[in-house]
Amino acid sequence: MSGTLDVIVRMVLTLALAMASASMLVWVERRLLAAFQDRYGPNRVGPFGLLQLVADSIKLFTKEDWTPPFADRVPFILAPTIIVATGLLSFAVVPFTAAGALVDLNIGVLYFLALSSLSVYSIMLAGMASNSKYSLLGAVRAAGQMISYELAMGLSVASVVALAGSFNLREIVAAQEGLPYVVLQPVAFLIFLIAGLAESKRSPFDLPEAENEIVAGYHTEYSSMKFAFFFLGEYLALVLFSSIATALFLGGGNGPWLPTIVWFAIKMAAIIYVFIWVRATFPRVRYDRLMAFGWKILVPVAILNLLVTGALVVARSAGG
Amino acid sequence: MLDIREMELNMGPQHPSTHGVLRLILYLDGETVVDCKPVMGYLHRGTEKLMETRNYYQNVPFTDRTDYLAAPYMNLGYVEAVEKLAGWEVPERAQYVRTAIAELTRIASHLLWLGTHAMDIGAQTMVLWTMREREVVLDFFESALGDRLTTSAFRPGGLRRELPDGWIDAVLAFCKTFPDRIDEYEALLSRNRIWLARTVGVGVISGQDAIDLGLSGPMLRGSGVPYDIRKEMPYAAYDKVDFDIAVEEECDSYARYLVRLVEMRQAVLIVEQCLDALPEGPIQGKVPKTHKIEAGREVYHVVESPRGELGYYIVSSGTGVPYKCKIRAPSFVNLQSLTPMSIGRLVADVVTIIGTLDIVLGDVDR
Amino acid sequence: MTVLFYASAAVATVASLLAVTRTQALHALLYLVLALFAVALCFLSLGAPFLAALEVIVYAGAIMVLILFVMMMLNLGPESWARERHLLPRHAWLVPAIMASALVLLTLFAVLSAPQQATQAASVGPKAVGVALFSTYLIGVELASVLLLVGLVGAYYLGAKK
Repeated sequence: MSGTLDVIVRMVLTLALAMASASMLVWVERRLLAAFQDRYGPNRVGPFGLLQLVADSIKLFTKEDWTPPFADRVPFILAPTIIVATGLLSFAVVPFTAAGALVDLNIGVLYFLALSSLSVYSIMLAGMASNSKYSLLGAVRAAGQMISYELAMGLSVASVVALAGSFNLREIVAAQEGLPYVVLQPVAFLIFLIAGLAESKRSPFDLPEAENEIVAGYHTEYSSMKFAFFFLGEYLALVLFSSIATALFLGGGNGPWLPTIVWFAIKMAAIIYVFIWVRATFPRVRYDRLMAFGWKILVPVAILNLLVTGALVVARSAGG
Repeated sequence: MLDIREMELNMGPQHPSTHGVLRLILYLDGETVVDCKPVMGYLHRGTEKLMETRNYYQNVPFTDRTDYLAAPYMNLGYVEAVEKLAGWEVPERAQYVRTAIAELTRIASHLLWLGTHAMDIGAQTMVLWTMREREVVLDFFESALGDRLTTSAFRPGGLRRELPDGWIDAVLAFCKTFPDRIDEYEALLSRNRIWLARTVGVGVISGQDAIDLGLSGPMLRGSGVPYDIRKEMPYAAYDKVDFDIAVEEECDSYARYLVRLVEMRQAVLIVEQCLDALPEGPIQGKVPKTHKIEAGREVYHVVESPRGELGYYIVSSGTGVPYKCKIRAPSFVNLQSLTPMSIGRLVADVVTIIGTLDIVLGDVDR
Repeated sequence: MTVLFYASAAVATVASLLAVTRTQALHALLYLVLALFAVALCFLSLGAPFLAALEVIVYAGAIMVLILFVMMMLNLGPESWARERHLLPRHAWLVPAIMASALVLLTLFAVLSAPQQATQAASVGPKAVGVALFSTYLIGVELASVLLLVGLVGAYYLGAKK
């Protein structure tokens, strides 16, 4: 019975951590962007504006929760829940601590890829169920973008899996003791980061919700907490991708002196910083360029990288 | 069973990047624009008709509200047209001050254009950087002219008032630092791969097409036509200052971006020359109190506003009130090129093209 | 595990039935996705986690999304739902239903009459799947890849014709 309790406690802790970091990220991003842009950012509510988040949530909670009469009701409500659910479920396999993840899943990497491929449904359903032209355009963009970049992401992850010889994230982290894979697999790391940007729909790949072009894209018709769910899902995705990148390429929580979870957090924060930095710097790419880049550059490079990695792994195991 | 038809997308008048209340009816095949129909008039206030009911002096504030992002330039074109119509003399000092303020206007207008254009393309940092410098310029307007946006900067015959103390030094100090800021903008954008991908080859209009459509300003000079009214038909003190006109041959959005950046750099030089050589003397020439101009005269006067050829056609009525006042708005004419530039491009390009046109809907609709 | 298997099998059956009978294409597709999920769970409960993950990634995550993509492009409205309803009147169900239930009965009979033997529920890891695919079933894998290549070339030809 104590085992069950232990699992529940760890579950709640992981979920709380994921939710808290995702929502804190809103504040972090706004402050950091402000710093890049020569302004203050939110600094009025609470110390350093930390409670801005609370104010925003209260505002969103008290807004009218409106389902447009022309929308397809069930999928319309289903869509925002899918993105948050897939985001939260993915955290089960992230090895935050030395003991490994919440679930020590043998196919952890595949589990993560499966859930991230399912999050596409959220956007597509939102776009279709909204029955609005801008939403539809956003959903079409999102679907094309996410399917294309998922492939590159899967291939880049595959080369890490080949190197570690396991789909288990804990074992992949353990295999990086002493030498993180970012050294051995810099190409795969870059591809993973770019694909992660595209998968989490962040600038410069924020075309599905490019407000200057298609108003708000797939969530144009959403309001109140349903809208907040899309937001939350997006930041969850950001936390998730940075934590998976940490586990796959930066050696997870490996590091001297400090506890595992602190190292993990530091590495994650560095990746998130880069994501925000990119957002402050780059304009948005155009849809056709995005697809061309994904299919003509990222995927071939990722395949080549995987082939070379595979050949080296085979050669090493044959030699030794 | 399935009929394939184009999607009709209504973009605007409430849309984040139509720069006001422009409405576009886009016919889309996927995301490719098959046809584009601009609909305007949402901001029509009948300025030209209203100007027939006020005297020449009272009409200045109306001109503020047409192209509100370059109000001093609108004022300049109007007061010069009136002066030409009546034959009133303007003292030299006023001419120099007018030129300096006009070029500061060009800087402010181009800064706002750069920021919003970059924002439309998704580079959100730019707009905050350019606003930072525009703020300084607007402060200059506030201290010298009394207002930041709707300046009513000049009056027929000269200036409304003398420049405040220390204004010249402050502006010259700004002129020293501003080129570095432009370098900063260029560092962020000019060689940015995504920026190049979004602007090079987008919104192409050849030099001949540009002339045929009557385009002017950076839209024309970005297509390789070296036509600048400040050089062709100098007004104010432009014949007494030394400056180059910016011309680029590539005919696309990136070329126009470069043109506007060079224009900002040249504007700094013009402001510096004007303020360094500022002659002493009166700021207001002799103008009859009633502004009465004899009947039957007519005039068409053009100036090079930040957006292009701004023309005023005024007919006198024999009293202090004009019989007719027609504004040749550069935004309105330049907007014609939107449809030919957009057809066959993607929705994202339409946003770039609206941005590169640098239209102000107050100017389009009047 | 046994409970999980039967529960997910039941869900798969019901969801498949609903997927066939819905008149709104979007809803039918969602039920189909649900059915695929349930099948993936069946695989998981039978000790094939790798297969379960692939089922979700490939079928639910990619193929169904592409179908959804096409549906989005077609932009089917209420008139198409009405047409669907018209296409499937009640009497059209009769013969297929009889034939399908006969098939189900036959299958049940075959399964129940076969000698019963408890299967060993051992989990098969990804490595074992890979080894099996590229040794025992190598020809099958190669044939499948040739087929996919043919499909790819065909799609390219059809797409490039414009």
